[in-house]
Amino acid sequence: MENNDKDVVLMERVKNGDDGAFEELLTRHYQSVYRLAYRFLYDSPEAEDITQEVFLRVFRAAQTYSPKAKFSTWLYTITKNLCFNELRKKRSVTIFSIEDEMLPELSSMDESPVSKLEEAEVKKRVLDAVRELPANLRIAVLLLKYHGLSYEEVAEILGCTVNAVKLRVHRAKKFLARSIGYVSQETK
Amino acid sequence: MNCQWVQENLSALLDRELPDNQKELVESHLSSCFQCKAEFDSLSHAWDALSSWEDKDPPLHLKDSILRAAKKEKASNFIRVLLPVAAVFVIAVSIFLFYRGGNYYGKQVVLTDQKEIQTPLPVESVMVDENEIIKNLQLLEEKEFFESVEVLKTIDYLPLLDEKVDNRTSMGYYSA
Repeated sequence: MENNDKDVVLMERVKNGDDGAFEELLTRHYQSVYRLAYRFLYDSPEAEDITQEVFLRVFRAAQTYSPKAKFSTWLYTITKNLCFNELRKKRSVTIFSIEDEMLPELSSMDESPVSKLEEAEVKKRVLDAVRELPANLRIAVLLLKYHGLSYEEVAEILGCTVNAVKLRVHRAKKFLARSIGYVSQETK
Repeated sequence: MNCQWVQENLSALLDRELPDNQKELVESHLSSCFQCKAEFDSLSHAWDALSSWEDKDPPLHLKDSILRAAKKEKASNFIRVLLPVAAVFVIAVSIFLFYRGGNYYGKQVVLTDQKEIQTPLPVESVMVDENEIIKNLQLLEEKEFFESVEVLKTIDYLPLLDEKVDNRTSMGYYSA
């Protein structure tokens, strides 16, 4: 049985009041949800709250659930929406559309070549670079890189076209390369 | 081959999202274009560097707290569903008892009516002497007359009022 089929069967069982099925569903997915929320918000208590809210929404929606999309895609869509809401509350800023997604300017400190850096410093640069990405680019990068989703799945989660995802990821990668220090002065 | 088109597709090549025909074109170009190859390498290194951000495990209590929250939600849903059902049940039972009681009395009335129809009250036939009735009536009238006389004897007349002040007489002012 494929993973998605199993999830659909589990959701049917949850619908019929099977608490064990909900626990199994939770065990299968709660780490992924938590990790996505944590990497997006970079805050563990907030990621916990979001993970809990995601699964409570799944639990509530079990009665009306129909497997139109892949279960994990639906789960990530709920997670993304809650993360964006949290970000709006936290920063009181609007999530811009792709046209308005301005990548931040790099400071001079970011321009030192990565080859001269320690591993810990590279990691720090990676974290800083991802955190600096605009929300729509960041979520696309996280879903692709850490959750192994395809462009098509990311497009479904973000509610945009595959070409839009392709463009966002390309821009994000270019920013990350410059920010981390993999682009030499000549090629900038 | 256009370098700009190639560079726009480098990211998709890294993500293995390019169709086979485009993938061959880009790879062929990279083997001969130093600048595009440098761009590809920088993107590739940056993408690989993201792997240094390890997965963070959720806290141990998280799963249990989610399960507890779900159970609590289920219990509150149950109560939320049960309350209206219980209310409807109580109302239905009340209505049933009310109408059942009404029918019960109704049946009694019907039964009583039927009984009355089926078994009419027995009528006693009594022979009445008219002269005796008249005699009794006369006795009753005499008794009432003598009682009235006795009442009149008990009347105490009130003193006369000053006619100048008030033309009224004391007639009729009595205490019974």
